[in-house]
Amino acid sequence: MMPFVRMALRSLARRWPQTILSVIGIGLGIAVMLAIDISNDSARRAFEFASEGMGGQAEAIILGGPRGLDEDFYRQLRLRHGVRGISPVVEGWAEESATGIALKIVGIDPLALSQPTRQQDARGWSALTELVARPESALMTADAARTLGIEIPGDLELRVGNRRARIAVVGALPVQHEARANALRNVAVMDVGGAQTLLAMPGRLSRIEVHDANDSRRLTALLPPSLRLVPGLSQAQTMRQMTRSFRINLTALSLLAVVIGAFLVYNTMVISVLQRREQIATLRTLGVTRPEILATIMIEALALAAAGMVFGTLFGVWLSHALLQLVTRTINDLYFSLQVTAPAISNWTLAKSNAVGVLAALGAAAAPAWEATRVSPRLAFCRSHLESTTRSWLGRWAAAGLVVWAVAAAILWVSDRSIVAGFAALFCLIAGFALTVPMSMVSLMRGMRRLLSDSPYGRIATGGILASLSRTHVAVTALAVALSATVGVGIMIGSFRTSVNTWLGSYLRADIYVSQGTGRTNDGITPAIIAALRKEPAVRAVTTGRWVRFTEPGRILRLFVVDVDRYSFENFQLRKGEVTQAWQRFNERGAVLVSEAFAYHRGLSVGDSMSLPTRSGTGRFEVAAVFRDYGSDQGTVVMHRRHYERHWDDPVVDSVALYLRPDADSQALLAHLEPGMLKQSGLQARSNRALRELSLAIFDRTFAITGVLRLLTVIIAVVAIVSALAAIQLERAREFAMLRATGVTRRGLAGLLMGEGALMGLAAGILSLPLGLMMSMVLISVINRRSFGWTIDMALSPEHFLTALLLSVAAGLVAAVYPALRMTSALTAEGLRHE
Amino acid sequence: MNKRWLVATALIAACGSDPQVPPALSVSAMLGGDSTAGYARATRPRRFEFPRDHGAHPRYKHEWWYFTGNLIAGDGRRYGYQFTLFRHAVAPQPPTTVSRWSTNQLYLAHVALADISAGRFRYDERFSRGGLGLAGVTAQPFRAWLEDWQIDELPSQQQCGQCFRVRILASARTFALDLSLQNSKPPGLHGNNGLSAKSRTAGNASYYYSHTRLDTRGTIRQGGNSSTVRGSSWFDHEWSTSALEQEQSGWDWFAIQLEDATEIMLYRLRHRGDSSLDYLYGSYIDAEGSLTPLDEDEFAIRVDGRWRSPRSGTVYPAAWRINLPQRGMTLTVRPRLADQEMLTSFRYWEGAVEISGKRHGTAIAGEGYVELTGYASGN
Amino acid sequence: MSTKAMVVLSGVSKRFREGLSERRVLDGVDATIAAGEFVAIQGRSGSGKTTLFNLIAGLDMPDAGEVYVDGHALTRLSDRERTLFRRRHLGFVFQFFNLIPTLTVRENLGFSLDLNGVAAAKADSIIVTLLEAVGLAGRADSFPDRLSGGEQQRVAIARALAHAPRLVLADEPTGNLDQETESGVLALLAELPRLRGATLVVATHSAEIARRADRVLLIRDGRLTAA
Repeated sequence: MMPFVRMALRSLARRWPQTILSVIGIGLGIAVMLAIDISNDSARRAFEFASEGMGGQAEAIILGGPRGLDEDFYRQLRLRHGVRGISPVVEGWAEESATGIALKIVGIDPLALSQPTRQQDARGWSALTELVARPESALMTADAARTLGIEIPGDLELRVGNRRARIAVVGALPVQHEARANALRNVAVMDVGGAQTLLAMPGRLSRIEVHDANDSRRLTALLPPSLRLVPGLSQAQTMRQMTRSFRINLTALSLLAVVIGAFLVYNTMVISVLQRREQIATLRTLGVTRPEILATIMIEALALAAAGMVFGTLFGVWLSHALLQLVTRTINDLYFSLQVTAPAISNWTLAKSNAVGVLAALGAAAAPAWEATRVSPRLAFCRSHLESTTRSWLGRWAAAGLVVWAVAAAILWVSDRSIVAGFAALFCLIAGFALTVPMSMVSLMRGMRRLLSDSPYGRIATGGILASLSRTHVAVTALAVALSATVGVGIMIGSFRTSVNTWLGSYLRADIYVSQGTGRTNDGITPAIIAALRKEPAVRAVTTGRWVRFTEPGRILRLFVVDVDRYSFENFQLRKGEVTQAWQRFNERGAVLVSEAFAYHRGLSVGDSMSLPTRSGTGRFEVAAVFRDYGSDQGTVVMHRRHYERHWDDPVVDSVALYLRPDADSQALLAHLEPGMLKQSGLQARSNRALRELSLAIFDRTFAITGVLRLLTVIIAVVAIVSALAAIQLERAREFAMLRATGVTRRGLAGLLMGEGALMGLAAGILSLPLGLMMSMVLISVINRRSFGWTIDMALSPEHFLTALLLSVAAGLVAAVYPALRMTSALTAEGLRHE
Repeated sequence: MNKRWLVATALIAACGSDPQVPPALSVSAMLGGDSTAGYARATRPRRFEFPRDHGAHPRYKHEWWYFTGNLIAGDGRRYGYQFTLFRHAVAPQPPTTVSRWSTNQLYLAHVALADISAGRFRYDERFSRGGLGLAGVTAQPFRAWLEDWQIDELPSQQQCGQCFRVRILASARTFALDLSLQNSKPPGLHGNNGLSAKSRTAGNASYYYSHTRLDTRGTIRQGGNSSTVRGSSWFDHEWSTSALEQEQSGWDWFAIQLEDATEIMLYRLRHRGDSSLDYLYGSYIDAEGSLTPLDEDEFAIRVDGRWRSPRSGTVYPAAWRINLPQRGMTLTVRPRLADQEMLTSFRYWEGAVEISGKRHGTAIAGEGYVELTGYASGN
Repeated sequence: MSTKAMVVLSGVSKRFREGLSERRVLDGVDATIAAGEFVAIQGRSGSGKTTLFNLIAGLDMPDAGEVYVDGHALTRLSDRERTLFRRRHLGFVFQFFNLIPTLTVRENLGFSLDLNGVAAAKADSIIVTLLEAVGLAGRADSFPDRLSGGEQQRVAIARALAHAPRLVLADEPTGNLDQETESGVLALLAELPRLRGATLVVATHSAEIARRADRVLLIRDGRLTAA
């Protein structure tokens, strides 16, 4: 095997510029995938730790209504039914007075699970018992205390709604794991009693955690209708479920980077094999078998992949720091509060990305390697034969491309809602396209040749590209695919943003929105404040809102309670359902509106009914209409307050919308309200415009990561085209030397090379447009629909297309620089002599 | 007996596995200090009133209700059992909050079952708090509970201060007790009318009374098997605030029920260095229920054998000879089962014993319970 | 020695398709080349010399007839068997030298030995001996593109002999060399294989080679005749 390894490595070393570019290409692919994987993984771990809370992972959770559940039920479970593996939790938010940092208050019973096996840390436990003794005492991690600028022990001034309170941090929460420390960074642990007092929720528990599987089975029979038992893993699982689509999308994008990277390897290997056909023939003559030839080529690919792995791993780990910030921020913006500071890098993650990268590289090399074994051991052969073979295959490839497209269509047709299938179809679309590129390229080049037929350089350039079709088509295809991804993703994001903007315009009609700040309380915005707001002379009308979250296995249901009138009801853009009828059902019969995403995920339509856990057991609610909403991919249910209070006995209001008189100045009113009433009550107000801007800013942040991936993909593609074109041009050294000999000037030759590069780039750019358009359609109406359940109106803007064209021509020109420099400086005679 | 620091230790060391690890907060900080400031103290005799005094005395730092007994099933199998509820105040006053959870009273309960015939000893431990009614003790009607481990007064035809009829219901992990207890004698007040001194220096004392003989019937369940049992139990109730003296390392306590319907309670508080400085005290209860204190010169306790726990490595005394010369009695005390060690959050030995001996030359037998604390190195 | 046949061609025919028409390159060729013989094959360009070579080397198969080399019927071997046969028993010298550009002179020689599983130490001594024999002892670690055409062809001759083949096929070995260089290379080619007991078949236009050969065969109109 040694001579083959040696030959493989020497051949890579000899073509070092191409080798380096290939390594960069495959390495970038691995890096992008690795970074995405690490970010996803770190985020997942962080929310697992976050959801673990204090008592370890719960088997199940007992939940009540919007205001939690009665603590008496807990006592009954312990005293009357002897259920022991349960623990109470009281949770809420407070704000540190000086810094305004939001603090999550978690009230627990340190004695509830006191079994020797549970308590592993004496120090932690002794501190926990003090919590019971002093209700104002709390524990927090040393990190958290440092963030708030206090020593342990030390006191904290808090604001909870409009109340002020002081707690004493008496001990440090022990932390075993860094990811866990992050999860606890904004947490203060108190006794249940202390937390109830601080958060003003006497008699109530946020939930009961069930730690024993046997208990959780028994409990089902013991629960009154107002309470629900949900699987305990669901906290982490819910988080995982909620972000699943988001993460799949990221992974798919990272796979795209790998595919482009693999294209680069393919490209390199194809050219490497083509260049060495003669050498391979010699080897075959000397008695080298076909498997040995195959092995030699594969060893080359493996060496490229190995170097790519090293580079990709290093770069990927570095990149993951940046991507993690983006992923975390998006999760925070869209899903739930999550803090992750350091990427969690597991061997498994490293292995996975590297394996995919290596397999992609080997897969890409397989075809050229196979091709190499077909080289017949003759004492002579001719190149034109090869080119004519390539040309004869164009039609077959194009036909295969159509077949692959048909497969894509079939996948979409058969798979109902699977996101993965959606991406499979998308990749088929790309693959099919790649197969049709050579044929399209030939037609395009012939067209260009006619256009440029007046110029001898134009004829030579187009002719040169066509003559070395076996090499050029790969490079053009790689660039076209990468550019089309840019175009497709760009159109998708642009359309999405336009849709969101339109939606915000109709959804946000009030002039000022008042909501609770970080110090959310269970009391919400008190009736006194609402009355005072109504009395403001500038205020024409006030509507109130209340967000209620119901945890279900693997998901969270968000209910938005409003007291809208017929006028503001029109803020909801109905997708399905007629507005007059919907209003009548909503207002009078207690029917609900569901968002598009909600309707999609649960397969609901107008007239269907859905269930919600009310205080008297499961209630059925008719769907009055489906409305457009991009607020949450989990979907939202809207109910009229009158009906909500009937079912839940919950008068709390947590947001208020103010409609002003036509002549009123919202800025002036804000300036008047904010420092006074609102600040004292811990409320915040935003103008319509500020809220819209905030929403769009969040939108843009959400797609920042997509932008980064897109950029990386383009970089990989440019690397690919540069490498491919450079190789092609270098190979034609003899031809160029001949041109120089027949009197073409240096400048002329450089112009020719640059022209060829630009032409190939342009071809790729033009070809990328239709695929980009198709991709955007799939992304919008398949991927987004299946992932998030919403529909987006396609909005085309010429900039996406122009960008692709400019980028492609620029890439072609850049690719021609190196060969142009080399060709024009090389001595003509030497160029002629060397083959 | 003087178990006050025991409870404190238990609540701190409930973490169990490694009691040597120093707490992040000192014991004193956590429990409001060894300081007894603010608590009521047992310094002078009080007027006991029943059933009122069966209930909790939350202004004192420590309190316990202690049931032990020897039982026999219809098939002759013998059992010993223990059910103890410890109360520990972590602050002199309850916190003023709107939450029913907040409390200064913590509770700890131990149950144990010695299956003598099977040679098997099982026990369980629980913690809870006085808040939200999760644990507590009330006097009228008498009720002591920690979650579903409960002792309830049985309804009685007439109201009588001396009557003590209770039902113990406790379902542990591996066994369950359902026992009904009834007194035949009035409560016996130890020491000076219930003020029980714990050392020669004044001030270290507790209020302490016992029901020394409670006729007991009920069932014991282990796994799927239950046995109907009957026998005799002993009930101690004691409360105090002051701590053990520095020099005292632990105690040996004896509850002896003789077949002639008399009972003897003895304890020895062991001095760390010098056994001649041990503090001994006791009570003799005659068949009518009349209690006579026993001073340290009225009896002697000699250790006749030792046992090394294979589980903890702790060496405990395992046989005794007790002499009460003025009453003409020599008693030999032997454990019915060697291993009745409680490896709970604090370690001690609490076990059923068998008594034989002579009174004025006539053979006499009996049974009882012995408690040995302060032997484990961790304590 | 002279009685044993190294190459036997019996009724060998080969046609090539060129567009719609067909051309008979070899038409029932019969020939025997004895072991140890040095035979030159001459003919005009396109007369079928290379085709004949490809058939003898097992690189191509005849449409009719049989090719025996050292007693093996090549037409009955599989592609893999023929490849291994070449590896073991044949040596090649090409017009364009066809050294492997990524390997040094030493490695180029070692390649055939490696393929035949010759131990490293033994291979080294063979290489040294051969390089001395072709007068390139000092160039062992040069890459082929650092050598002149004549030097490259001398390396190629050494490579063709490294694994001690029974038959050496040379296709226009001097076709790419100037006259002066040609005679040096030829001298080597005429002597070395013979010294090592190998049969040598050379396709050539060169009169010089023809003069040195034991026998000259002529291809004309698809037939092989003695000159």
